[in-house]
Amino acid sequence: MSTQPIRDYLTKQLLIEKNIVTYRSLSRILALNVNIAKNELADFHATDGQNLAATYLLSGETLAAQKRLDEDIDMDDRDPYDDDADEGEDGEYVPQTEIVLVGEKELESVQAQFVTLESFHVYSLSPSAIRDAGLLCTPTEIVRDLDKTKGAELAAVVGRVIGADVNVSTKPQPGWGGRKVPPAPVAGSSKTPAAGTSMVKKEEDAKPKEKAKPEKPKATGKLDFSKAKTKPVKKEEEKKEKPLKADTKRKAESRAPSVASTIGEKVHAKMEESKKGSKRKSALASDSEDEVAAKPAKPAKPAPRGVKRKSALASDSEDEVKATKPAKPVVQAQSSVRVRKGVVLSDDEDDAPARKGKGKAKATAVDSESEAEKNLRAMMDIDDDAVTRASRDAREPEPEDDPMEAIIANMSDGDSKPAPVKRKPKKVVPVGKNGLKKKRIVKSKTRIDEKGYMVTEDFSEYESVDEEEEEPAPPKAKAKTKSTTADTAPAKAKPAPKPAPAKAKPKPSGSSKGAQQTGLASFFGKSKSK
Amino acid sequence: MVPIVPLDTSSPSLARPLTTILPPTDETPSFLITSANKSYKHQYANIYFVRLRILRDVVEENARRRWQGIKGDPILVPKVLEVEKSQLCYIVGTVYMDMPLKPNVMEDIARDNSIPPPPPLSKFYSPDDNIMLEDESGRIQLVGERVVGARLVTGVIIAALGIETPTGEFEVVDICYAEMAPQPKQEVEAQAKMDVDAEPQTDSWIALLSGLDIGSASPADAQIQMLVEYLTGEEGGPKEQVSAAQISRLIIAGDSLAPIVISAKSDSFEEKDGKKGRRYGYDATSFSPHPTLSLSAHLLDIARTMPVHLLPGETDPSGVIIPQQPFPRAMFGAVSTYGSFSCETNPTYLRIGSETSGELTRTLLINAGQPLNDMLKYVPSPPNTPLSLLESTVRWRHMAPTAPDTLWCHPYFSADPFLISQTPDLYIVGGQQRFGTKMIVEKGEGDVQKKCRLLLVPRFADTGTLVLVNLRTLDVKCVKFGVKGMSESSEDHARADDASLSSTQLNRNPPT
Repeated sequence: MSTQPIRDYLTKQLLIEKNIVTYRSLSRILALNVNIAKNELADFHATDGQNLAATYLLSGETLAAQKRLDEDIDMDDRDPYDDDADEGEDGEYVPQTEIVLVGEKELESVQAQFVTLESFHVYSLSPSAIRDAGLLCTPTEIVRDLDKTKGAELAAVVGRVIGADVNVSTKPQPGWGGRKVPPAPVAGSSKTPAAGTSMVKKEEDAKPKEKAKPEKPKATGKLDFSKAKTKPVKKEEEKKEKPLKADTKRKAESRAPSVASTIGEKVHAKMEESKKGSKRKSALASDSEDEVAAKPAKPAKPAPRGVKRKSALASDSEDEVKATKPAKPVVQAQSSVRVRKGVVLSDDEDDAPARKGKGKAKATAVDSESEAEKNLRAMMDIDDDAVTRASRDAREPEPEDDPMEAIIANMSDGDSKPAPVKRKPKKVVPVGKNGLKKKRIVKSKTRIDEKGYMVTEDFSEYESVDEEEEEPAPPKAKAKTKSTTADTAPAKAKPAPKPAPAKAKPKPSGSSKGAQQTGLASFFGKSKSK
Repeated sequence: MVPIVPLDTSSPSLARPLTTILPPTDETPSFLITSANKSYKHQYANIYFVRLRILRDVVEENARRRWQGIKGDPILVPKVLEVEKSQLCYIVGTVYMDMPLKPNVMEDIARDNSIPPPPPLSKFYSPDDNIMLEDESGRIQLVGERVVGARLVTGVIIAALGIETPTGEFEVVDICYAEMAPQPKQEVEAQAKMDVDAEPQTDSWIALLSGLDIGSASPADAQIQMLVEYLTGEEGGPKEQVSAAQISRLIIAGDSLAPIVISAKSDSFEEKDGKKGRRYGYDATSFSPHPTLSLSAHLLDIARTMPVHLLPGETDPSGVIIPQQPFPRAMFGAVSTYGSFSCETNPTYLRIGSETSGELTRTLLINAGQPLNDMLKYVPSPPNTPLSLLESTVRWRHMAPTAPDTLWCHPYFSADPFLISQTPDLYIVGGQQRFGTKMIVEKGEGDVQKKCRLLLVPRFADTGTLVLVNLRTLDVKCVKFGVKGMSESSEDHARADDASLSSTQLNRNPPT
């Protein structure tokens, strides 16, 4: 009855390699139904493998189970205080099936214990008698490997009974108990955002960007024109040929002279610095170059851009600095508001409600109001350099768009320093695997600095959030982040001197960052006022 | 050579019946600790207060009905301290067991810390115990044969009928409990009963398991292996496979992993360096040095074929306070990708709907056994069994009255989630020494019957028992897995492993 391949396999495994073969491993490897595999083992044992040791599996009702029943009856009615002592204390008799694994030697004695024997088959064959039942588990590894790789088809062949409600899914089953519905399934896994962006941008560089600033649009909100939209569009434009861009640029200029002129100034300044500072603009030079250089160039852009430019300004030529400095004030004084509000920026932060991770230009245009459409159109008209510039600008100034502040910031810090500080709160919170926004948590780290002093630093970090917690967390987390990230040593030093010089003394000595310090300062301040 | 009848290989392909999990209701709440009740600031007194406030009305009502019109015409005294001497009356309050052997936090604090604490007692019970009844006003001591024999534990709300004695104690004549909580009517039940014999094969069963104890010194590897094979429907002949195919889901009621062996810990105390490796060596199973890996491999095998619900238990690496929160799914690796694998709280309610047996909904209350094991310490054991005590909890309408006294529980502020406000159809308790089951029935108003199937699920590592329950009829059967003629555990095997491991460690240690 058994076929040659099965015999060959069993011979090789048992007689040559001296392995244990169970009905399961046989069924998995040769893709047989388990019941056929059991019969094959018995067959092989009866013919070729007479000197092999077999283990048997018996099932049925045993004498021991019936004895147990008798014991239970003996234990009845022991409790005199039981209000309704009508039944036995140990409850009802329940039918019990016993499944026993037994070696050849003891088979007959075990068989005798069974009152009814419902099934009886060979469980495994082994080169010698198995002393330790744990050894029978060794072939399980093979079984698991095959179950893992072959999956459902094999399971059907083998005869596993698989429930229809068994499903593999990356997200937890919707419901209750331990399971919760992820609020934003799209943003849920880290894979999806990446896929979404690549769809829009169709370029590899999309991914690094997303990683650097995960889901930027989400935090800033609704129509984050400058960030979510301009970038994709810009990239698409970059792909187009240069002449076309020039055209659009001209168009923009002709249409809105005042705007265009300021933009033009900006663009010039930018072009110069950025050519040195970052490779970004070089990417514009040609299509092919863009494609090739995209990967290394782009990732550098989002997060460290400010830093790069700063270094360029500081180290490079003096002219650069001069060129940018005068340009800036003009821009801001004249038309920065208009530029931002009307065309390029569309007052980004203020009216921007939360938007989900897929910041697609099209999607947003559809669901946003007419203003958004207008903005989009306007943006299309502007050449991409200007757009880039604007988008960068948008991140720099305060949400309030105070031109004066921006000027001051630009003047004093060479236009880049305030940027990282202010950017942080806007940064959108990365999303955890459960689809919830990660929470910013302040942790402290203690290390020993080069002088040998122990320094404790607070730093904040994103941490994934439990399903329930997410609701109350955000306001607190935000407040914390602000205090810890934005406030550096100078910020903290300020409140200290105010209350009293005497009391302020210990604080500067601490001179370190940390939420505790601020707490202490406010404590003293309070007590003073009272 | 034993002649073997070849198995019938032409059996039709089997399919599991489908069951669905229904959302929790107000009566069967979720035990998840959410941000709403996450605070640990609150005092435990609130739990007692809420418990008394909710159950007082019920108990009073029952007591009135029970003692109405008896001789002496007892009246309800609203506060235990207002009891008048030598007048028959009844009072309602919370039982407090004053037991000399019960652990006392004051003694803990006062104890000399240089002396190691005495091992926890297996029983608090002693003949010197005093039983008190307390409410907001104060406490009164209950005496009398009736109350001594009533297997009371701390935290139960009762009504006591009696007379205050000249010594200021309350001589109890009778006791009244809240009795079973209401149960939603199962209209389909009567109709379903009609076709009992029609198609018993379409009934869906659920499998219950507890105490796998993976990672213990003597792991029941072979039995667990057999269990997995049985559940997946591969083991045995066609008959076993048919009955295995009727199992629609598996519930693991705690104690899946063995606690870390204390002896190994103290061993390695002296040689701190080898601590980690040593302990892993002791815990090694034949599959893998990590019990968790082994457990998740088994879970994966099972979860490929049916939905699995996993509760944490006493020995599991989870919090100690009740309700224990679900395991993080990720710790089980590949199986966490199965939507049908769910980690539950301990205790938990599960409402299971079954389409195949006619729009049937069953409410299951499952815990891993800590409340019951704790209550057993309060009562003398020969007359009381786990099953009788479990029955009492249903009649007290409280699944864990000894929390927060001796059973650690979360400091709930505005609720006592352990109140049983709806009698479950199945009350499943894991982590038990022996199997036991009992159907308790109480006549409600009209001809409504409240029925509850109590189930004690024994530890698999000790008994090799898998419990199966028919969702429609609430019938129970057991499947016991055993190994004969071989050493059941791979203890020697593990030892050998361990020896080789420690020797390799020794080899490895000198360079470091």
